[in-house]
Amino acid sequence: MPDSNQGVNHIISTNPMSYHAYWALVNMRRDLRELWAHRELLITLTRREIIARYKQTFFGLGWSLMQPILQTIVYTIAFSLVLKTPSAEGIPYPIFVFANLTLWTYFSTTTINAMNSLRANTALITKVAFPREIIPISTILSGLFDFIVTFVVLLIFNFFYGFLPNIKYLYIPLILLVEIFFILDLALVLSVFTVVRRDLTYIVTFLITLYMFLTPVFFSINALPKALQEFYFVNPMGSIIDAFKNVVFYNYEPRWYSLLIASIILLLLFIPCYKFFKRADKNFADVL
Amino acid sequence: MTAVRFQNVFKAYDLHSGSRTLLSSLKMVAGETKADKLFYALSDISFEIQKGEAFGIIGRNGAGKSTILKIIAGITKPTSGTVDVHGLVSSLIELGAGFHPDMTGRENVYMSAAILGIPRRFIDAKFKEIVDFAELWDFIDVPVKKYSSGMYARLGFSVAVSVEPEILIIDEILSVGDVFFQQKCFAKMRQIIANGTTFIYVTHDTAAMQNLCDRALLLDSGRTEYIGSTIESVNRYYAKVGQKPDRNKILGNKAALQQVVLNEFLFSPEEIVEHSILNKISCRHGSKGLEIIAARVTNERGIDTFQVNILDNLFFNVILRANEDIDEPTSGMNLYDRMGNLVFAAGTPQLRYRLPPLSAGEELIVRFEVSFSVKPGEYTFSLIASEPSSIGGPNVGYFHDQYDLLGPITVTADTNQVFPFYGIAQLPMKIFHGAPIKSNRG
Repeated sequence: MPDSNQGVNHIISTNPMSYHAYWALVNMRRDLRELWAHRELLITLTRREIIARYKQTFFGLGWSLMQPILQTIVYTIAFSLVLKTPSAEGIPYPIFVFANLTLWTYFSTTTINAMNSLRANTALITKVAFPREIIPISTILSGLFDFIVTFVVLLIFNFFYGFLPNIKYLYIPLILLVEIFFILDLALVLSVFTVVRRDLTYIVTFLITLYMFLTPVFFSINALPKALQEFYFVNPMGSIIDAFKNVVFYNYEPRWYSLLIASIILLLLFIPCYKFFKRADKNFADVL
Repeated sequence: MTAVRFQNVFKAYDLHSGSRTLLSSLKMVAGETKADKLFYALSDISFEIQKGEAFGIIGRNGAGKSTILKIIAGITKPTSGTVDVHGLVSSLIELGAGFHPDMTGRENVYMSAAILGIPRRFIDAKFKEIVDFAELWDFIDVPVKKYSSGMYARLGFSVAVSVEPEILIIDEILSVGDVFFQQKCFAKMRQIIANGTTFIYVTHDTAAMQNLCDRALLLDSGRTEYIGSTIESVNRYYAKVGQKPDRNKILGNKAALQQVVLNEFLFSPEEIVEHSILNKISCRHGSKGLEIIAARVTNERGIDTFQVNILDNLFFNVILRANEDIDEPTSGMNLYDRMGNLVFAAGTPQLRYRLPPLSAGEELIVRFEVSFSVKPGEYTFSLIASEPSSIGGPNVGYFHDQYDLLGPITVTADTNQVFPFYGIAQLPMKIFHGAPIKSNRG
């Protein structure tokens, strides 16, 4: 799009015969500028989603804690009491699992929610125009609210086990940013698939559970076979959880090389993911 | 300066998206429509709307009106062709689209503005005006799911017009709300047009469109039928309802038709024109080859009135003018009850009554005498000038001119007496009896 077209709100010019030309037309800078212009909508939608989730519920905030706490109880019984694992990597088992689940629940819940977000907002998409990526992004950001609630509970648990906050906690927003980028990449692609076929949710739910075992979340990495341990540091969630544990329990720096590789991969993946989404999004109103 | 430009725009929808494989559906989402069963909602549409223009779009259901609006609003994109839109578009494709039921009116106002990319501080300044216009002072902090549909629509309209868009799109929404709010909306739209906002209006209310719009686009099955003055577009729109008769066709069965020429009408044309009940507010449409210029309604004593006692007559004196040669002019009236049900409709063809052929420029006074054997209540009526249609059989007419929503006629009855009948209308009914007979039974 030539920049001389000042004041042009949108120009749509397509020729179905030459879609490669159109692909080139999807100018990422323009799309990102458009997204920035709608940042207030993003904030409003995020707020709306948080309010809507808790306004009509009896337990309110309790729901966002329910899943990680129940899982912690189940895994603690299974591992501490049945399999007699008193601690993992030198950390008391209950808080080891709860810390991992703080990040993992955010990842799994938000990925599924963001994936279904376009379908959930059909009324909005077919009636008004705005950059569609705002919908999955607002879902991802509203999930942060649950994360913060869970994180505060983690701090309380840690306090009872004698782990106090330290200066390295300042790295946590950075670690979280890497995780958000990972979810965003996945959501941009998966939400487009879900617009076409809704049954993909079941497959993805299953794959995420499988991924939880590989990462791993509720047992130590040392319990995995050597070959799979290598995977730990290449897989984004592995390096994110590892960095988080280093900061929260050991007062260490994150394993920078591992986090950096994950960040670079995720940033590079963002480009095709975003382009894929933007190329599809003009048709959402017709398909939904 | 151009606000909106369409150049050879096509829009195709895939009709069987239900039975697709994952791969082909993905291709479709990605915009690669190679489907075999395509429905063209728009075919080769080209037009330009200038900045500050009030532009109407009319057509039957499914003509493609809403598709054009959705493309202008940026909700969907054309399959091929070029669309340029200059300026911020505020669209009322549906009133209150984007409102979240659990959020309050206040939160939804900011939400709707955010969708249009309007900054928060702008709405802060406008907020009181929005609430005042919607008349929702006591309800603005109540979740919108508690609103009535009228309140919902009022808030939606108020937000859309208050954000000062450069292009305002309104799609057939003013049927909501009471008559007072509708009038307020019309006043607001006139003000917006006067302020130089580009205004795009889709409605079936052709009177409102003629009132507001300078130019209009007439669509038929996704194609441009006509583009030009609103009046011309509206006339062509109504002309399509019936088909004009073929001039060379021999008119059949003339002998069966009766004709009563009254040399002495109660009124002269001047008297009818002077007391005409037709006015500019009336809903009027048609191509006007045969025109109703004036109509006067009186009771049997020649007094102008819409009041009539049950079973009494009203006289409808109508002046028809032929603007072209009309071989077989026909005229009639419709009567509707309070709910809009057609109670009765008849005219010259139904009464087997033949009016003389008219040459261009000739006028004719016709009088309908109608006995109101209908139940007491309020009725509206329409007056029609037409010709038999060349297609569609004897029960289809080509309407030259039609005035709707005339009246209301009030039919009264004396409640101290037995009504002449009960129910909607009186049917011809006769009663006979014989002489009293002495019974041998029981």
